[in-house]
Amino acid sequence: MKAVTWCGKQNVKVERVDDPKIINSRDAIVRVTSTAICGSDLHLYNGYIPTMGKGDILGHEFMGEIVELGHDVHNLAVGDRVVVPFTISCGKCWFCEQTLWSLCDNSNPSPEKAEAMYGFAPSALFGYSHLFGGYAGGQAEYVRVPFADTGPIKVPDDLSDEQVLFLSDIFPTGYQAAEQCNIHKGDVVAIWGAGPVGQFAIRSAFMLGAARVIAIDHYVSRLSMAEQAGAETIDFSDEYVFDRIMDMTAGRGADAVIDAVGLESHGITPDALYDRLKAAAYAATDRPHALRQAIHCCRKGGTVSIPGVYGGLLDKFPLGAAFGKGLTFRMGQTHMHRYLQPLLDRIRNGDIDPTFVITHRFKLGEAPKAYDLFNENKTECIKVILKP
Amino acid sequence: MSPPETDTASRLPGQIHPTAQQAKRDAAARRDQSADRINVGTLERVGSGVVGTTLTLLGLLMLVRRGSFLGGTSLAATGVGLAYRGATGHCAGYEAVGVTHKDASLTSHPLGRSIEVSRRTRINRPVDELYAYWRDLGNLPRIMRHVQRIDTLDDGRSHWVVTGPRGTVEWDAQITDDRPNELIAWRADPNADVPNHGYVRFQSSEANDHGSIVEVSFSYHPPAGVVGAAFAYALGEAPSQQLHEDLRRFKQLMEAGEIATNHGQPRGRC
Ligand SMILES: [Zn+2]
Ligand SMILES: [Zn+2]
Repeated sequence: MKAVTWCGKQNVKVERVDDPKIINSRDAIVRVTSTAICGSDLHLYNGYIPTMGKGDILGHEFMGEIVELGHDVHNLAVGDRVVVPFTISCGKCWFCEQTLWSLCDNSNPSPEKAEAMYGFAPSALFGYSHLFGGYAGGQAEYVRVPFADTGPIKVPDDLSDEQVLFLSDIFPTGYQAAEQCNIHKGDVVAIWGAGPVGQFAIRSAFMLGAARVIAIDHYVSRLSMAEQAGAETIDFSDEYVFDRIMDMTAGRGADAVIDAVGLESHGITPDALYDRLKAAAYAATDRPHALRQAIHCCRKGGTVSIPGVYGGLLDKFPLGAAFGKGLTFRMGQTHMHRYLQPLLDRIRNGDIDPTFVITHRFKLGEAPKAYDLFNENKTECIKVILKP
Repeated sequence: MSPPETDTASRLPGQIHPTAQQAKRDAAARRDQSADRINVGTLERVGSGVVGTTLTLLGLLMLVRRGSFLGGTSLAATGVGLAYRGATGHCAGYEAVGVTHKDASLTSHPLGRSIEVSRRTRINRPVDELYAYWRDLGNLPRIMRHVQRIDTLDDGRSHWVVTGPRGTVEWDAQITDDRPNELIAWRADPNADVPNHGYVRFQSSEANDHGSIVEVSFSYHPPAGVVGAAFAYALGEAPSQQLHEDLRRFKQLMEAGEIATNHGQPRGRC
């Protein structure tokens, strides 16, 4: 089959590789019909994630048709059309039972590296380095899906691929970021970063009852996409963010803030891992500028929602401000499996049409060009999908 | 570590293992008297120093190569640790697993010291399932990476074929205590290549909805003596980490019904 492989810094190739096969009895093989490039794939592309191996197959946002099933998968049938969540969960461990799906104990075949860094390992992910399990990703014609009886969701034929594809990551991730804000009617939610996840967080915050959403970014195209959803916008390159938010909220601050800057990086900042060696000297590894500003702008007693951006140590984290204002922090990788059905229902009801975020479409064979464009031109390019 | 058959019968479930308490006291005593921190034998210190220095260099070389970041750092870190251990005669790993003999060396103990390892894990399944799987010894090679084969003989005896740092070793073992859904203890033939004994204990922890607690504890004499142990440690075969990984495979198999793997999946050549 054809697959997009990682061959080093800014070097992805489309190669012929072996077809995947069923390895464990809960596996499925999916014939991919649509896949997307995520902002976090750019961190792999730019060579910041140290546990990538040459030849690793990329991609964690994909959907398709079931073509083969392991003998312990009974809830799916060959021919079913499914969207696959990017986190891999066993469904049987204590964490899965608590619906803390992205903290699954059993899906990562080699959790030792993550354990060394964090004490414990989170769940595995598709196509996202050997720190997160080393599973082959979905930017390919076929993909092996482990624990297929627990993750993939069947989608009805009357919805197009483009309408449901983003259930694989960015819609649930944006939604969880908003849900973590514990929004009450009339709340003001401020969101740093108007990339794909920020866009879904904006729309989700409105769905959950926010009266006003403020989006902070410096790409004009992203700010205007935010405005189309009804958000007010601040371009941080020509305004003082804190002053503007004080102005807009009559001095009260935002009821909740979301740090979606570089959020495409889902749980890893590139520098965090890259600076692992530096960390031997306990120098900081993450750069929390947006987070500091968000904490500063959050009202007393408010909530800070961090949809999983950080991988290492934080320097000059304003714990005094957080403590002094009695803030609540919510963070972590998306518990994908919680959101698939409810958000599929939202799409079906017409509450949202996720296709709004797509700016570019390519064939799978054009992946190197697509990666290059996405990496070089964030003004034009917000979300890229690939068709095998 | 005391052999399980001597006192486990009187111990209440959940009670802290007496040897664990002893190990804590030992550790505290070691901290109090820094002169007493030497817990690595002389010959092994030399071995650690040499292996450690080599590994540090190898690790740093790997670091320079692209794509070997974690491998390089961990190898270098292991190397630095071993070199430190060789230089100071103190091994945090030994301290952690309760190895305390500072006078151990090949000359004073022909077989080397015994290495003692103990580890506990939670498994989200009832004790009877866990016990039943383990009691069928033929299952164990699935979870124990270094065990190639276990043949069950009669009267609780079994024959083990294990991959060691210097090739295959074999021994006969005897189950010395077998309490359904609670404990299985074994002891290898004292004349075995690798004399060893240990136990696995199963405890229900339903009270807090966390399934069961499985504890494995064993001790053995490494075949190549203490230097062999140092090499095994250097190559990532630290017995405690090995046991951690074996127990993880057991947990995955019992909870998820399979052991997560990415072996056999496609990859490119670039
Ligand atoms: Zn993504
Ligand atoms: Zn799980």
